[in-house]
Amino acid sequence: MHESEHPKNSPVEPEDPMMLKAEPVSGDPEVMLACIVEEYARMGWGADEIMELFDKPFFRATNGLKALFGEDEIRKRIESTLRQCGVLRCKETHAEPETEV
Amino acid sequence: MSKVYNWQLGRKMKYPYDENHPDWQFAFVFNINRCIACQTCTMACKSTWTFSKGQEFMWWNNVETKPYGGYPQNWDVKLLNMLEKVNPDKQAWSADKGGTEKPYGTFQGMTIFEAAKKNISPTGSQRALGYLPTDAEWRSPNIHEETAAGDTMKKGEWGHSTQLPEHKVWFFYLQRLCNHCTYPGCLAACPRKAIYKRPEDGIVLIDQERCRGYRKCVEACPYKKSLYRPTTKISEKCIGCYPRIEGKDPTLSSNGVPLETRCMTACVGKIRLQGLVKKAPDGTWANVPDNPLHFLIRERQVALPLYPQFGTEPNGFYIPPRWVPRSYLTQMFGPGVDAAIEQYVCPDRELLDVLQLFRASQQIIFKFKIEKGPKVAELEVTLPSGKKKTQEVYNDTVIGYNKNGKESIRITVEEPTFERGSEHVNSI
Repeated sequence: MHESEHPKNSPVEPEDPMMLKAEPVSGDPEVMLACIVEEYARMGWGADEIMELFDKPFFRATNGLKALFGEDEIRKRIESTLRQCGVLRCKETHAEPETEV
Repeated sequence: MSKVYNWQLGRKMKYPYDENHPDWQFAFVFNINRCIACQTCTMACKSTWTFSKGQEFMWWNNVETKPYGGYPQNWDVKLLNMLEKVNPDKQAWSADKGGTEKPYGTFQGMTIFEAAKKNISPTGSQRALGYLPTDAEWRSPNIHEETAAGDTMKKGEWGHSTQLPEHKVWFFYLQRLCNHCTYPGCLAACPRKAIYKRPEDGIVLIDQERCRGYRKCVEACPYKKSLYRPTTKISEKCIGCYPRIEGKDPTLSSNGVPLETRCMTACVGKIRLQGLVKKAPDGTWANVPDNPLHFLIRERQVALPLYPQFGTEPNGFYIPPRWVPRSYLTQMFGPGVDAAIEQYVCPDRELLDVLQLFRASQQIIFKFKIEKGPKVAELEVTLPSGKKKTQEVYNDTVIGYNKNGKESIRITVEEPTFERGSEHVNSI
């Protein structure tokens, strides 16, 4: 058996799963940052607690934003958002378990 | 084919079986805005139901990253492409929104059931348009999804590397499980009639004795939430934690009240609210304005179905993420996106109260009541349009009741606190 053409020189198959495809989708990470901070402020989280979400590498979205903007900038934006929207506090009271009669 | 009414499409559509609705319907709302993909829900489900041999790649609940990710990979893009190929340039909505009959307008394109008849292959047509993912596509639920957030490589650092278009880091997490659809694709496609909806709660189950593992359900479920188990050679899917829904968990529910599923109760981000909605005899949702799901989904329409255009009338609903481009969200959640986000960003008094019920109690909340309090704050909110609006916060108390009508949870909204920035000398 002798192939006339080396595979590396042959054209890429249209359905080749290894072919790299990428397309940018427009979006704004600054809006994403502001929204996430506000969401957690609405849940009653303070600046330090929210900052932890950005510090921990396990949370890739928030940690990625920290890599993009830098720690100081993230802290500044958290404080600025909290100054505007405040931290919403709620008091939860759970009912006592019902006892069987 | 029968003609059935799909309220999410605002019209009747073709379906292989007649309408036959349960008394109650399992449903849930996810608030995408708050999810950080901690995957606690995923592991709660995995450790409860799919930890055995042959279930290694089986994730009944998964959280995937959009716009890149999917489990199986590209499940939604593939099906959207298939629909577009069958019905090019016509997969669109009309703007005739109106009442409970057609809250999002009318879908004028083809559902997976309608498109299937136009897509004749050498083996005939399918009952629902779909495809069977390859093993590689199932292999890893989050593979390569968040690489956009990884370390920055310098240009040309890798020899002969490809220059990709620049993409700013943004994405959101999509939480997925079986939608326990009103018109399930899996049920329609099963040649053994092994799949059924439970009349008491609308949970969709696969009869493990009848199933022969033909994988027609795997092919037909547009959300790819029916999965094949190679060790038993039959298919399995989310069972809606039905022992909990029935109130038969002996430890947690000694009084027999229904509990939310494992994935819902495990959510630390408080993004999930699950329950049962009452169905009217004609299959529509009974008008129960004090049911929190009815309030969020039907009355306020702040939570929207995932890909309603597929036509299965899914019973999972999502509060869309407000930082994501609208065209992308509209394709994913239908034409109700703008109105939903507008409401959510600056919630009125009642909506803010009901939003506090998310993950407040393990018990399913069947009814809520609001005890009104005085106004405690006015906050300036910037709407997505850029306009400013004032949000009023009231010292209200929202009370959730379980199936027995007993109080389960009571949450009081208090005055917001404002933290001073680090530039202030006396700040902590």
